[in-house]
Amino acid sequence: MISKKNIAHSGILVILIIISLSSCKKFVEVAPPKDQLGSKAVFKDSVTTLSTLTGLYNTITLGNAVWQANVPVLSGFTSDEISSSATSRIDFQTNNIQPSNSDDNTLWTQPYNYIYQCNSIIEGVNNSAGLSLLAKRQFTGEAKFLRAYFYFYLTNFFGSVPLITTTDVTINASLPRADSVQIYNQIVSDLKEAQISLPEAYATVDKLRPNKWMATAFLAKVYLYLKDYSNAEILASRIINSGLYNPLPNLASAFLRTSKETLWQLVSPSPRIASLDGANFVPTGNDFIPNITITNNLLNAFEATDQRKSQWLGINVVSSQNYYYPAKYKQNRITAGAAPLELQIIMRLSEVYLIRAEARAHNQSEISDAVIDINVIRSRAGLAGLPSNLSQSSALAAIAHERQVELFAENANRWFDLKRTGTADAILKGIKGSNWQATDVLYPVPSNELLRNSKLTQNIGY
Amino acid sequence: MAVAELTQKTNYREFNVLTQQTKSMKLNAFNLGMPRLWLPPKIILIMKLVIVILFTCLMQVSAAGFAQKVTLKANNASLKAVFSSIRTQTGYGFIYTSEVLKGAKRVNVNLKDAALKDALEVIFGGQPVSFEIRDNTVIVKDKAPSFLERLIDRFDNIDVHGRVVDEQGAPLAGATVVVVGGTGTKTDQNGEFYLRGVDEKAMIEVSFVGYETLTVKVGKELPIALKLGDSKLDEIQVIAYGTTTQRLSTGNHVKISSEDISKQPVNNIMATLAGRVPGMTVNETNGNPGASLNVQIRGKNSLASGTQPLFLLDGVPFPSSVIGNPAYVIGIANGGQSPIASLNPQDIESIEVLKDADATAIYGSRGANGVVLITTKKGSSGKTKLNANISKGVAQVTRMLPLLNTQQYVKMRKEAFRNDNISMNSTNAYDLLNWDTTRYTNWEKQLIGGTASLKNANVTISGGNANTSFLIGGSYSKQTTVYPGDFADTKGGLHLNLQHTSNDKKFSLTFGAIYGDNVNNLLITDLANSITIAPNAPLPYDNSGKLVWSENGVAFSNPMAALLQTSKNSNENLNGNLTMKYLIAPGLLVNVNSGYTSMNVNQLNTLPISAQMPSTTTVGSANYGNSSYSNWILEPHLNYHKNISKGQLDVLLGTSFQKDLTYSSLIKATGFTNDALIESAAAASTSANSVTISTTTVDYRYQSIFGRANYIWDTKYIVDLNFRRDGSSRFGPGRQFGNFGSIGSAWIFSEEKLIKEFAPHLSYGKLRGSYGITGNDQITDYAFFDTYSSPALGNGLVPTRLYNPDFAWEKNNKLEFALELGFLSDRILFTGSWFRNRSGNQLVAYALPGQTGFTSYISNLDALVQNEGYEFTLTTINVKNKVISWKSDFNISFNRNKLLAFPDLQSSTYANTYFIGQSIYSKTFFHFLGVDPTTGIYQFSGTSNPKDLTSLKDFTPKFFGSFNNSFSYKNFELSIFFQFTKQDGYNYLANVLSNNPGTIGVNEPTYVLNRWRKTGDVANIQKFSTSTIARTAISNYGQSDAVITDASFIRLKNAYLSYSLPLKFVKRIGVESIKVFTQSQNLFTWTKYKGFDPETGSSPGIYLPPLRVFTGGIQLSL
Repeated sequence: MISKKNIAHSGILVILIIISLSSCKKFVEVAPPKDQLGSKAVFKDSVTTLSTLTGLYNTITLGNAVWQANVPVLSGFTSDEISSSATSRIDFQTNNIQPSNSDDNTLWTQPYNYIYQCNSIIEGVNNSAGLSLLAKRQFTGEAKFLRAYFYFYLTNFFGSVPLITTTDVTINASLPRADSVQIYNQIVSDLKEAQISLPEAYATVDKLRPNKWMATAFLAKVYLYLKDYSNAEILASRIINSGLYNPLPNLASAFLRTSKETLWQLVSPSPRIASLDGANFVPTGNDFIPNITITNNLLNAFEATDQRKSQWLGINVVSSQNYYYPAKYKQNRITAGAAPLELQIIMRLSEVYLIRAEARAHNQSEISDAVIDINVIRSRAGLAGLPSNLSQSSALAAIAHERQVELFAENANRWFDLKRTGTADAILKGIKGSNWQATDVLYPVPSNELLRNSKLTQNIGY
Repeated sequence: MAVAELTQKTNYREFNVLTQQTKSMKLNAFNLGMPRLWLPPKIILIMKLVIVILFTCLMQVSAAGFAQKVTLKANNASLKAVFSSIRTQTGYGFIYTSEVLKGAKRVNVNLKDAALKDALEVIFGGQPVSFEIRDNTVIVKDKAPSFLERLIDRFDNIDVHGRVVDEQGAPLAGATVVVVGGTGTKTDQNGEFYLRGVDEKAMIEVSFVGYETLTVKVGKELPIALKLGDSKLDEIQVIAYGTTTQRLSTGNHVKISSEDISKQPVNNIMATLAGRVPGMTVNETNGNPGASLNVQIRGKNSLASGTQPLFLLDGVPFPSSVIGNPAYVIGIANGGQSPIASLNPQDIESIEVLKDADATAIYGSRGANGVVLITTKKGSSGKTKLNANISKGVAQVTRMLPLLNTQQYVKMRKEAFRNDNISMNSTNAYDLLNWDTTRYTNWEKQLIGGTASLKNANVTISGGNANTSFLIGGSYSKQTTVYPGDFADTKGGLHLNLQHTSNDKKFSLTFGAIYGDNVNNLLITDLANSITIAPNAPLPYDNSGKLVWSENGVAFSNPMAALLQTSKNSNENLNGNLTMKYLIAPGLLVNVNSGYTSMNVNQLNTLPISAQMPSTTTVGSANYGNSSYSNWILEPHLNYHKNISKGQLDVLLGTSFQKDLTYSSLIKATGFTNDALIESAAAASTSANSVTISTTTVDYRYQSIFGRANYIWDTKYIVDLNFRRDGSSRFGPGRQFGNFGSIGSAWIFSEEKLIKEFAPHLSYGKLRGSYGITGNDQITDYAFFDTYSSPALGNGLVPTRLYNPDFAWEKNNKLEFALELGFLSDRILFTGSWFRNRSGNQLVAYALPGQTGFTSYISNLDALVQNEGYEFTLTTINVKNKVISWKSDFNISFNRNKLLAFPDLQSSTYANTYFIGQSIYSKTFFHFLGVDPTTGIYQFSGTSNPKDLTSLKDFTPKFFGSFNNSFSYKNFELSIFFQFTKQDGYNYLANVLSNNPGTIGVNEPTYVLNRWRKTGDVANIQKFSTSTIARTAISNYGQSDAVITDASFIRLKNAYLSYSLPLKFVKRIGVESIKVFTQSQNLFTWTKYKGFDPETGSSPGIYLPPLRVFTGGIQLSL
């Protein structure tokens, strides 16, 4: 029978359904999760904006297998500096990199992720209503410096690469490779802006963020690569003349955290890593063959009395055979709790001296000045100075040699030097034999990228 | 289907109420009259429905006499004229339509002072119309069912009281009792029924689904015992928000009963479905306990988003994949603990797999990939029963990969040096120079050649009375591994079910709770990965039992170190569900389903100092993961049932709210200087970075309204309509809601007279079809937000994703037609179905080139994927008599997957992944041309990526199915279940291809012995070499069609043999029944596949193959 109670029940139910229909929109709207921050909120003030840069620095140094750590290792294999018996590393050592190689893939994709972060910061800062003009300029300058830094490595590893300067995925996804002139134009313009915008002082004691001088030094390096020797010399001189980074410390202190000659260094957020190079090169014990060893070619390049050989190389003796490894950094892993004694140095003054020496040596009238610069480096290594009356070719050869033994296993310098000076083919052919092809100067575009962007083309030889 | 819900066992109470109300209405008929419409307008709709029912009841019982007298003489008069005369005499009006009077005959009567009612009866006698008197009106209508007459007649006859029981004497509630050619009723909770006023000579027919129908002569007291029937057609099947039977269903659903589930000694209930459900593939991903299974119903509809079906445990959504944010889930050898593996197979009453639009559309956006309904066991009233089931067994790897022994290995290595013409030194040949080349360790046997043990115990107690029944169960199971060392997956659980019905039968509730605790301390890594260690590598342990880490200055990565890495996965889950039903009015049932699921996953993995090469590190580290997941769901809905004419109408209207909350945290600690304290993060170093903690929360919400209307006409024609509107929080503002629905219909043509006459052997025949739209929202949460977040380690903020605020539902159109046939009283049942699913508006993690900064973002693609196929099942009862029975089940499925459309495919990032007109399971490979007889190096038609990826291989199984035979002979029961699949898969070469045979420290399968040796050799394996050219070739080989071979197999998947002890004997010892049994799984496999197991060949790599399991046990009922 129908009672009032039953009718009331059905009434309640109907009302319930009606309410639920009208309220459903609200029910399925959720707030962003607690561990994420909307991008508008991020660029509201300089504290969170700074966090985006911190995030970027942490990303490139997180662990000993990320891009920043791979750069010296992989380039060291493809040049003539280091070798390893690990099967996964053989393709780089024999310059037989497959387009599907995962290390090759990270060398391409990771910097593009960092570039996205740079672009995102540049756009976020630009659209911010809360940041002061000065803060905007500084953040933008730093992001642009970093963008230039990543493009420099991308173009030197792969040749022409897509030039991405916005965060718009619809445009970026199908961009073809840009001419390397275009890329260098972007690098120079970004570095110039950074040079103007960045402060002279470091934000931290450890020189963890680039300042005006670092931007200047990197621009000098770029000019050297572009063979714009006069600009390279002018900029290098500014740094040397600032007196902020000289005199060069002794060999044993050059790679310490407190080294005076350091222009920019990075700290890894990974708990037990001091420098990335130390983590990769320094073996954890002395009774076995190190993962990565110095090639005989590099070992023989050192002059007999070169103290860098004893101070910057390490030896493990196994079955009475010597195995040398790069030991500019001494700390493989730090004891938990201890502060690292070394951080990952990206640029130091001795490279600036060598940039200036090379820029000068290209000018017949400045060869003696170039020799002075070379001798600064040699004298620290306990070597006698070179005579100032060198021919231009001898001077350039001396510089190339000095770069080889001074900057070995550092930031891909040797690999890039062989390429930019046009000597890669001659030198590496002699060392690697039939494995070497002239086209090996460029790494292959990763096969995944070709699959996903039909506008991309593969480098010749792959 | 709601019809079934009301007519079948589970909901018989509603019908009882109807009968009772009819009785009481009779008494009140005179003074009740029509209820006045005083109701507020909001309730009118429902009330109208109620009134219609009441009205109908009233009509039928209010025909008592009136004292008006009629005198009438008519010769060949029209009815209209007669009515007119009576109206004049009595003042009674007549209501009729001219339609009704169309077939009326002329009237010839001669009445004098007849009572109105008598007069009308004479006048209406022999007419095709009948009448009813209400107030001062006579209503003329089509002749009503003779119910009315019988109601009146019954006072002249006897009253029958009966009780219907099963073979064991337990009452059968809800059985249909019909007087042949007359009225009917249903049995109540105690199996009892009353029939009043039945003709003494009448026969009554008693039927109950699943039982043989019995016809008996009436008597005042009738004890009736029904025998179990055979027809599968009338088994109750659980469907969305109700139940149905195969006979009356318009959709495609397959039921796997507890009988089939409990016969299989498996860890994961989903494994019991392998091969049993047409169109559904269930593949083991590896042989580790607790591993998840790849479950797919009717192929992959979605290019990229989830292809998992929706799982519901007693109506409550159940997470099917590893819970928590994947970034926070710690690795484990089984690839992640499957939540479904924590369910105890013995607690499961049935699993129903819903496939077509008709069956799945009411699940709206989550029905696209099919739905799996898991129903737990319920208690039944009657004597309190105890059931116990205890079994024990062993398991081993099904198939091993034959590997080279030391002699062969050394030969291979030396041959490589000779081929490459290089000399050996301690760097490139430490395995030959520094290690003993006569030592031989069979690593495969050492690492995965052990025997796992299984233990299982399960006890349930159930019982109850007329109003309340209960079931309480407890279970325990433990499965160890084939690895050396003490590793196991241990499960314990409790299961509770309560059912209660109020005395007036209007209110009922069902409460179920399952608590499960699953602790898995498996290894972190699958040891199968290490079987290719050089066979002459150092022995893993020295004389003092310590791990060996180096020999003669050469470091040895000792695989046994993995045994020291503690891993603990504890998965604790609680599922509760409560269903309350209340009968507001006859036929109108309000129903509230609610459920709550809570899961807690605690994970630990450690890297102690002792498990690390002493030369590489001095500290230990550990990860502690914790994920908690909770989900509540509330689904109030209304069911309305009404008989209309010869048919039954069922309407369902409801709404659903769901909220999922996942919280995950991960603690990474390093710097432990003491292994003993490694499970305590506090003992890690005090350095700022040595302990890092990260957390994440995910809030997922879901809201819907849904409805269904089902109409069954004369058990011949059935129409079923479903609708659902869903909103999901995974979509951005304005994109949250989607509409889904279906239409299904069926024609049971065997009920047609013509068919019955011409095809007497056809006992059942049905044609059915359905069409509808379902959706898919299986994407990550929050993908539409533009946010920054902190990376897992360290400070700072990084962009979380490339966001896209505009993506929306993926939609799946399903079309199905099926023919179902039964012959020889359903002893032979055949089902053939054809389906076509088309999935569009594809929701994908759109693969992006790395230059965009990310590798993908969520987006809709205007691509259309089609799955089309045929499924056939044949069930036969070959022999059935008192001593022997033999039943067979056969099913086979053919599925073709095809990408129909993909605008701008060529310029998209999928240009080289998908191909129009081809299966989305296809992949392209370099074409392999064999080994060059001159150089001994693999040759391909081209190796430039992607232009030479020309060889297309489809991984869709060509067909698959199973063949099951069950025999029983006296007390013995035997069932043998074969599973078969015709497919292509990655072969053993894909497992080991990363290194060319001859590479230092890497063992190879013996198949590589057939290699090229000298100029002119025709071989299928290239020369042993470590040269650049050989390495390039092997790398290309891995991307070539050479690694794809036939991975078809026929497998004796399950064999079950049991013996029930004679009843006489067991009764003597006070036990109801005792059964001893043996079960085995993956017993034999017939395949040409080279490598581990064809089932895990769907992806390259080495996994622990599925295990062959033997168990034996005893089942006891008290």
